[in-house]
Amino acid sequence: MAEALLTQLMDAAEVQSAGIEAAHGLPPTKHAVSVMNELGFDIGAHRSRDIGSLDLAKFDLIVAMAPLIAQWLREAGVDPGRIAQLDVSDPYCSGLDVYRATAKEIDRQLRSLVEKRYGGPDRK
Amino acid sequence: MKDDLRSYLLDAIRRVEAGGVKSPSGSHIAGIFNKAAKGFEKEVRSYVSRLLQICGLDFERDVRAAVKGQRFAKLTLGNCLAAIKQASALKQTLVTASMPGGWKVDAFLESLRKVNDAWVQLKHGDEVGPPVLLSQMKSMLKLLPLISS
Repeated sequence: MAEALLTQLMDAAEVQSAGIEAAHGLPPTKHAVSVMNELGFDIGAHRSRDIGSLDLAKFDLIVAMAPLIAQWLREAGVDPGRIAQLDVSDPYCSGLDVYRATAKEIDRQLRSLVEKRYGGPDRK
Repeated sequence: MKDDLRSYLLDAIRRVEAGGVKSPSGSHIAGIFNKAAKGFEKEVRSYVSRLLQICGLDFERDVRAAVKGQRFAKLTLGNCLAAIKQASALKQTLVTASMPGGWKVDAFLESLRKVNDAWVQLKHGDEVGPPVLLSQMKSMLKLLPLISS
């Protein structure tokens, strides 16, 4: 969800999502697909990636969705200056309404981050 | 591989059971389960290979049709279940005698099926509750030494 939402805000940026222990290939949950469809995004073809498969050095900014992930990144040696920490609750197994609220919260926190860091959205 | 997977499962189960803020969230547990299941699938595939050898069965001749024509190297956990069932149908006595840890064939297959069912649901985008994922990670951990060479 965050990848799609941030891509919308930062059109010129390459945005990729990954999990800190995500084996490759899992689809988003049906609730995530459904909620993002409501917002006009098609994330059905997305598949999970493990962060280990990405070259983190090539990313200007790594957005951690929760404090635990930010801590993991710091312990993995990522420069703290390149980590932006959000605080989003995991909606997994909590129902469609919680997914809707989570998407809204991710969007709110990403907009705030983009505003602070880049002075606002970068849309074509 | 087996030892890596065992260590991974032990560590993952410990972290999930610890609870609290440092414990993985639900979707994180799903990722952990997916990663473990991929390793487990490889171990079960190796077990199937050894079982067929013990039973004197040829994969292409005796089993391939029962796994929907899938190549051996591409056997999924679900295909492996079908392969063991087919071996059992053809060589029941040998398969029963070679069951790891003296398990009954049906109980062994049922344990594998439950792991596979949880995984299939995740692969289809369905949510599987953390208690079920935890229980099936424990099941993988229990089965792993039995199926490994």
